[in-house]
Amino acid sequence: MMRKHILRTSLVAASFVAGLTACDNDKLTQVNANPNQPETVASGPLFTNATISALSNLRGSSFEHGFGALWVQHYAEIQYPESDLNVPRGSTVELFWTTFYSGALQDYTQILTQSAGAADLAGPALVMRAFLVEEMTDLWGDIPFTEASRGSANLTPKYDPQQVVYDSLFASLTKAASTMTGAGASYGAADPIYGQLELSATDQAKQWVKLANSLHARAALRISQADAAKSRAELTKALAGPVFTSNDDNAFMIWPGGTVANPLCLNWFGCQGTRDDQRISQRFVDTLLITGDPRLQKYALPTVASTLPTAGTCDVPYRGFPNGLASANVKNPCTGKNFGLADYSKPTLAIRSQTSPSYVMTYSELLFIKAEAAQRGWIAGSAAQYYNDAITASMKQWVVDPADIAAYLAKPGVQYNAATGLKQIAYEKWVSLFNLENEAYAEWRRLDYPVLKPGPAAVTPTVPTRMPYPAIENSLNASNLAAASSAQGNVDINGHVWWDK
Amino acid sequence: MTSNLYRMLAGAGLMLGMVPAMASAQQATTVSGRVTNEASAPVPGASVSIPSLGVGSYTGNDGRFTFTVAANRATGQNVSLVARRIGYQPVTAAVTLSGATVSHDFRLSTATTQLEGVVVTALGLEREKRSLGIAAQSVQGSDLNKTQTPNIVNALSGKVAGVKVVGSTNFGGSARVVIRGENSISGNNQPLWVVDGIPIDNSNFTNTTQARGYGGYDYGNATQDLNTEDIESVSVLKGPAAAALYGSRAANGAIVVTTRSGKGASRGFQATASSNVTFDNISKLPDYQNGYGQGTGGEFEYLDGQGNGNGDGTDESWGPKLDAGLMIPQWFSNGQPAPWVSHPNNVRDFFRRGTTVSNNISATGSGDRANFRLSFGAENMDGIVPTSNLKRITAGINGTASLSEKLQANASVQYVRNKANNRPGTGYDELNPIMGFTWFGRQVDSRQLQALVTDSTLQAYNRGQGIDFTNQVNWNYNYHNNPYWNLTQNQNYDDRNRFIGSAQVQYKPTSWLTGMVRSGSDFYNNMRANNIAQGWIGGFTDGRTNGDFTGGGFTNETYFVNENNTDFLLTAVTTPLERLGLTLNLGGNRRTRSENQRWIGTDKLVTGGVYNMSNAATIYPAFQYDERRQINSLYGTTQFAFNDYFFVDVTGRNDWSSTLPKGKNSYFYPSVSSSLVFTDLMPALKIGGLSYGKLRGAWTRVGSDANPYLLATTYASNAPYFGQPRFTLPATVSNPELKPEQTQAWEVGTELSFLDGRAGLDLTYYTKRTTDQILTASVAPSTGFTAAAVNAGALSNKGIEVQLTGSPIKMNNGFTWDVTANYAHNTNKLESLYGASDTYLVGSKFFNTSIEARVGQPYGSIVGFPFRRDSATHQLVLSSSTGTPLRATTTTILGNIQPKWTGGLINTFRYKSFDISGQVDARIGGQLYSATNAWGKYAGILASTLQGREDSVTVSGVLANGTPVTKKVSAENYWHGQGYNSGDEGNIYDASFVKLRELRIGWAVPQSLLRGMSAYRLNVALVGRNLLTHSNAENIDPETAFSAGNQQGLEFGQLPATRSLGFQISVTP
Repeated sequence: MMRKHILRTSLVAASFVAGLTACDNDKLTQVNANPNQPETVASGPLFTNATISALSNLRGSSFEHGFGALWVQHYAEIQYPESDLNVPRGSTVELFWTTFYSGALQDYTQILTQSAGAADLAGPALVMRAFLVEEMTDLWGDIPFTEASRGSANLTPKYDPQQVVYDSLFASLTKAASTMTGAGASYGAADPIYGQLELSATDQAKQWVKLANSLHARAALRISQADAAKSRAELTKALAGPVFTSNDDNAFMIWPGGTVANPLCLNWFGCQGTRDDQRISQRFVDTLLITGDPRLQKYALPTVASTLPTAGTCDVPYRGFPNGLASANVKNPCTGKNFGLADYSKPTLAIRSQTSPSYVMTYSELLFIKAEAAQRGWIAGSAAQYYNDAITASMKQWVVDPADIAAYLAKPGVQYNAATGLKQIAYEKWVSLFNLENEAYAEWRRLDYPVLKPGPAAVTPTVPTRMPYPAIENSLNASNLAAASSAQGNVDINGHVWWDK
Repeated sequence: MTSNLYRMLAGAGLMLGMVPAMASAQQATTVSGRVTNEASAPVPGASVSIPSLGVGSYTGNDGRFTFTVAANRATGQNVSLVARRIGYQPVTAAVTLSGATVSHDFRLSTATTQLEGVVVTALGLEREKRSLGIAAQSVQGSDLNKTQTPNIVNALSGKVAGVKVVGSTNFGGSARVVIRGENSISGNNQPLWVVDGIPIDNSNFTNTTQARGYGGYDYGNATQDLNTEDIESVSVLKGPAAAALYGSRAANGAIVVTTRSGKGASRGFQATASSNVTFDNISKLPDYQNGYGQGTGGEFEYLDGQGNGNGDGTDESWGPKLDAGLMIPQWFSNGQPAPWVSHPNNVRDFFRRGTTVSNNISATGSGDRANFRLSFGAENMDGIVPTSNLKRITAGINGTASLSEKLQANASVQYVRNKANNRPGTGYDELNPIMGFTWFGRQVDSRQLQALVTDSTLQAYNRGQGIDFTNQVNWNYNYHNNPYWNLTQNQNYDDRNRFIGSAQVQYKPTSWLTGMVRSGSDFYNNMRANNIAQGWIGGFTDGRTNGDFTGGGFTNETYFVNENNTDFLLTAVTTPLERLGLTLNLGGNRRTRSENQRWIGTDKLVTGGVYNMSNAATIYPAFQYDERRQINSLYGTTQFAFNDYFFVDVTGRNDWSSTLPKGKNSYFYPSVSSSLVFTDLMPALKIGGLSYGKLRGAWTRVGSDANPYLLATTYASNAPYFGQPRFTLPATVSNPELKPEQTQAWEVGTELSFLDGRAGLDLTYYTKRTTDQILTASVAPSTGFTAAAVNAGALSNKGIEVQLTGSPIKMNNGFTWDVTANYAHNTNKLESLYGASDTYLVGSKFFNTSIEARVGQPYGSIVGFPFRRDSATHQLVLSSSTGTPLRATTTTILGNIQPKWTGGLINTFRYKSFDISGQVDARIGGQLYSATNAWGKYAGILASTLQGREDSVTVSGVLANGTPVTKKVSAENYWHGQGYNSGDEGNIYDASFVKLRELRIGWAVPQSLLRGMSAYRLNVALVGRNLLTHSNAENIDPETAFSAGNQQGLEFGQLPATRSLGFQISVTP
């Protein structure tokens, strides 16, 4: 009797609650709708973010300035010199590999997925993705690309040979240039590169076509030593379309400041607290002092010590810091005392302020590409003329006085000589690509000029020529990394990427 | 209070198989009496039963009990009548069931062993401990509060076997408690806290930056809101079996707190009051060197503190010899030479003595049909860092009323306010004073820093040197702020207002059925403000900003947390067979939790001193986060009790969770447990002094849901770019297929009592294994993501727990010596992870060191760089240029945070009106990484860095090519090579410690001295905490943490450990 009661009561209660729960289950699932973040986003905000992310992690970043800028001896470390001693900091390598793949690259890929066809920002996304991927492959050689960016659909993407990556870049840039007509698209202010110019939709698209072709030319020349025929063919193709024609075409991004600020300022020069870790390299400063290059005062600030009321005879206006030193025990050769931070030149505010721009590519670089192509006989025109124009464009970009430009071009060592043309181009590129450090580093590796030697405390006898793979790939994508490593041979910092012969 | 209800339910006999006899027209026998203690005071809540008949009841507030035995079962036979209460020795009396009434009074004496009696278990049900098939250990409120610990979590330390408490030296900071080892790789590993049947929130809301030691404040765990003075008892339900009925959050065990109520009060109105004062004095500081001051290469000369003098930009102490008669320009001397002398107490001088004052009053009232308790507590803590202060006010009321024979209601409300000012920063943070003393010029006089903090003459001198930071005067302007400037100019304050309330009604329509409905809510808001004054040197981060702040700034964040639980429970009790009691429970729960966070801030002010968004010069985007989750549950339990010595419990629960995908969000989890009191089954086993023996065993499986919002991919936003919105794909791949994670556990144990309770042993062996863990597993970044939400991995624990209790001495003159010892050993192992990955990073790196879960290892490997060693000779490989040992190229496991064993030893002596008790805690084994030591070596502030200063350090090893070499290395280069960016292995320390945790000398003032107050008792006591510490870790206290999260075993800049001494006085009826 009692058990019956229990049973009945239990059943009634159970069915009551079970019923409640069942009809509640839809509502219950609704509770988990995320009120904080959207599930779909238009391409515009993705493109804006990806482009800012791409340049934040390149130009002036801990990545570019932690490695390439030191190794190409534009800058030197004054605080934590490991990278300058040719011991790349593994955590930084890993951070940037991770940030490239899971940051900008992924957002550009998402734009391409959701903007099927040429509409929307698919064209610019294709261009920017190519720009970014080239930066990555130039540092790491073989990288995951064709199987990358697929999330849980492929947890272990295989590595593509650099040659394959380059082929794909050429294809992407060709496709982008041919599809960005301006019709049906309005990139508008979501485009951080040209959006500020407030152009018509057609003109904005035209700028992107110029950028696509100019980047195509950069990529084409980069493989000049690995596959000259392909290099020439792609270069010819690129230059056949519209390319940069003046500094007005320069592709760069302006930083608003605050949290969205020039990474060089954020990471190295005191936008956030007292971080003050680098100075311009002694090699670079001394070279520009010797050549009387008027860009020195555009790039470098006079030393603080030289401007203090108490400045002594030892406090010279421009002084670079030597690369590859364990900084703690550096003495001032003049006074014999410990060196102070104020004794060395920092970059100018045009470079390191919160709002200083970050460049994707400049007109002068395109002219240097043309100069080299002409020197190699791949295109028509005078190599000397392109060379002079390139230097002029670079100096104009930095607002050098025209008289100073003329005087510089007239210097005997500067005047173009076909016999030493490639070296002159290489040297001038080294100077003009200041502030596009990874480009300078890539071109230095390709052209092997100027001759750079590591500093005295460096642990390797030569300047590193490639980036080591991050440890995280070894733990999470080991077999593919192993395959790529054995395919490339030496993948430590003294190895060479495919195009670097 | 809740327990009152359950006592009634239980009193109806549901748990024990004690079933009240059915009303009978024939002649029933009424059994009644009174239970008192040794002091003749009534003992409420004692169970009195006739086990052979399965009938019984509980005593009321007056200690009286009464129940009836049906006529058909009262046949004039002799039976045993047993009275039990936890904390007392059970007493059995023989009575004869004849006639209409049987009367018997019991006098219970206190027991040392707590193997028998009533404990509070899941759902607030009070259970005879003998009937439990699981390990549960209780701590009485009075034991918890012996030495006045502000944080209840710390108070548990050393008292319960298998409960690992990690305290910290952070002021008002977090304490972490883990029972039987970590279950979850990335989720919460702390037990569920339940107060009077209502689960309460124990969130920390520390951001990941703070948790990994990169700065920020430790605001403490939210359960520290509980006032230990209000606590009647704490039951620790260790395994998941113990807590299957609380739902998945109790997979890590449950800590069930019962607060004091009016139920034990005698009739009428009574009041109690207590007062405590404790003083905290520094017991351990790093061992600093006083031989050499600031500088590099043995040189120093101050010009502007920014590097333009000779080594004056540095914040290291590799400068000239101190106390050698040198005259050197310094930060305070306007460019003039000043004596270069040591100040050995410059760090100690910065701190003050900490003081905690707490006062509590409470009142209870009790009548025929109702009782209540009112309480009020106020606590004021002044920390050892000047200006740091924490105030806590607690106020509570609870009451019970019997509205009719069948209807009872009770309700409680508790209000807590926690208000802190100027918490010191933690970790590697300019707002942590110890950070500033690690990067330090050892010659600096902190008294002088205080005196000259805004000295106008020096400010004028500084302006002449081009120094921007002229709001303050300091010894260095490259990196650091004057610590006194921090104290006086940068205010931080936080304020938590909390209500915990519940109401319940129970209805008992017939003798065998009870219904209950209860609703409880835990609600708090927590405001945290942090102001940085103009003239601040150095960046600042709170996890959301990473800005400049030299122009001043502030952050202000608010958390709103609300958890509601509504339960119903139907209980039916029957005795289908003689000697077999059967109890059925059917219940349901609906749990909702919401959390809302808001944040605003700026890193630059227009005008100094006004910390309001209207005065912001730069606008950071505001942050907003809202979260809701809900779980609906149904559960049932069945208990069989056979003859009061064999018990079987079967439970089952089904949850429907909002955080799992539809179709996979319903999951069922069962448990079975059993207990056999074999000494009752076969009294012949009572040999060798054995007076009580029990075997128990339990098996359980518990399912857990996910955190909200892991199922769908959503886009994160970033700060707009010239007004253009920015969104990005997240770094974690969502997973619409998530399923619940599973913990399976079993345990066996025995409880033995000897010599009538003079000695006891409680022994448990357990294993548990959590699989299908919901975690964000690392995936190769080339997938486009860095992590994926997956079900993967298995983490297992197994171990033993031993608790020994005894009364070695119990003399007739009243002298007693009681001992409790507990010991726990746990073996934890990560069995598998996700895909190819064999390592999971817990939190993120702290400098080069990380805490990781590695397959095949216990949870919490400390991973970093060892020194590089020659593969053949195992000798150190030295740098060919400097001679310092090089670090290896890859990281490896350098240690593990898991201790080998933990234990506690509590001795209590009583003689007449005196009692003395002491507790020693031990945590043996495990390691930690100490960045205080790493940077202390690097910066040359530690005494150990005196080695080689005058000459050099001789280092032997081999070159990279294997050539043996012995080199002389300057002390500066050598010690730089022992700190950051070198072998981290040199900064791994043994985390073992033994502490004299508690010492108390109490005196119950004799009534004869209390003329006119004879109704009250007065107790006074001297108390001490953390009086002695033994450890092998240099310069630090190894009991350390940045926060209560999973990322443990890292140390930097801990506040100095303190020794507390205090005085208690209490007045009770």
